[in-house]
Amino acid sequence: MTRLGMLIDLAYCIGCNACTVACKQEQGTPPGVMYARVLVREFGKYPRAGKIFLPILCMHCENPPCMKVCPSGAINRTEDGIVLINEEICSGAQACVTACPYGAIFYPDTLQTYFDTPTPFEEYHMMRRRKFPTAMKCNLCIHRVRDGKDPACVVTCPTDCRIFGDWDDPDSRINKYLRERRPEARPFPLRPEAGTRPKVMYLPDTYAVKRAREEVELAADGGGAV
Amino acid sequence: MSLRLTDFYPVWFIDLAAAVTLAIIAAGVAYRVRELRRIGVFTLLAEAARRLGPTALASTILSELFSRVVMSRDVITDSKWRWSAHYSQFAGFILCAIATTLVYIYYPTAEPRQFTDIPKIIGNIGGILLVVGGLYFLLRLSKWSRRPVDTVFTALLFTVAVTGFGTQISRVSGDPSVTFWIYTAHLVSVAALLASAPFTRFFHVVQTPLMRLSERLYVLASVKSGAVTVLKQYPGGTRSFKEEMMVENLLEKYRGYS
Repeated sequence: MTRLGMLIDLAYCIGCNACTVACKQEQGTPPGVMYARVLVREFGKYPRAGKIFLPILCMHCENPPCMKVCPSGAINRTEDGIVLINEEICSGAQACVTACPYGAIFYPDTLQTYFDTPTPFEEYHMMRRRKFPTAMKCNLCIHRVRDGKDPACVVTCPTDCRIFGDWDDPDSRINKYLRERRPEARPFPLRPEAGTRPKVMYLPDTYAVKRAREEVELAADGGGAV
Repeated sequence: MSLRLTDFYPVWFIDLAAAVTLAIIAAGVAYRVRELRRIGVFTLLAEAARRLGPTALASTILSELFSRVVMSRDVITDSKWRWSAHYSQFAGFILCAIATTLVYIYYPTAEPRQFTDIPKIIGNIGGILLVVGGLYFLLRLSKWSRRPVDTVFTALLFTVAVTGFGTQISRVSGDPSVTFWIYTAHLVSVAALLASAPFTRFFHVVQTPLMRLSERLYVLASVKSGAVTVLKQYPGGTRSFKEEMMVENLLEKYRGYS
């Protein structure tokens, strides 16, 4: 069985947001809608300060709550595990927006453009949309994947921290990467308590782990919590 | 002609059927609540309630219920026909529920009543609305849904209305054997509709307003706490809270590494 997904090695993410821009280019999303984006958080205090970059997107869960709560049955999963919204069926109930524990679903009420008049690029994407407004989310660049290409965010990442592939295929790039590049690390999901079984998994950033551990030890030693 | 269920079936059988139906509903609701809890809907609600305070919380809930549920605003935005059919089914179901409750409270005997009685009027209007909405959705269902449970729900709702009218007509015509079978079909379809509710599209009656409410409450709470000043500049709703939880989740994981 094919389980398409993504592995994101946080050790290599530099927070450049190239994925964010590439996604906007590929999907032609309106302002405020970012299927792929990078969350940033600073922690600790100088000289033990740390910073984490967390690239997020739709997790294409195996147990997707958005699909369960959609009253119109507009959200489905393909055979290879990509969770898709059928724009024609979506009735705008927006239950999926709240149900997604990752905030990956957007529902822009008004179709805004970046400038006063839509650019030809925006016009092209407006025409391509079957209906508006509807719920919108990452489709893992299914049009590219079907052509044998990687999603736009993956090919644009300058540090190759996003690895796309089939989790079930031992020879896929994901599994090869885990074996050859990070054999010591175990991939983990975000918010596992939600029970969504995401197919986008993460590898820890060892530097940030070290800083976070120092923060804990410092607090335990009475050095002042940060 | 008096129509009492215990005239046809033994009391223990009816009690057993009711108990089984209730047990299935309870199990289904427990499953759904567990799912909602897992994805953090109640955490969102609790966070919003904590920030808003009881008065603002109550007034928001009431206004949202009126706007989204009673008036069905912003419920179906893509088609007026679909909205009308949906509202027809919703209002029909509520009217039938009101009529049944009124009969249960004010008319304990099973004697036939006039068509001009208030519960009859309410129930018949509700029934007509259910049939109209149900017909629309049954005919157009293939366009929107491929899930068998959706077909089951729509078909059951339609069957409840049709067998309700069937029972009424057969009582007037006065053939007890026909009435018996139609009435049985009506009650079985009602029980099946209620028992399957947590597992079918029916549950969106509770779930979708709850989701919308938690989103609305959280946005209002953010405005009140000063996180945002203008509502229009905050289209993300609960997204920022979820993002915060994800980052916090990751940081906790890092802190816990040995």
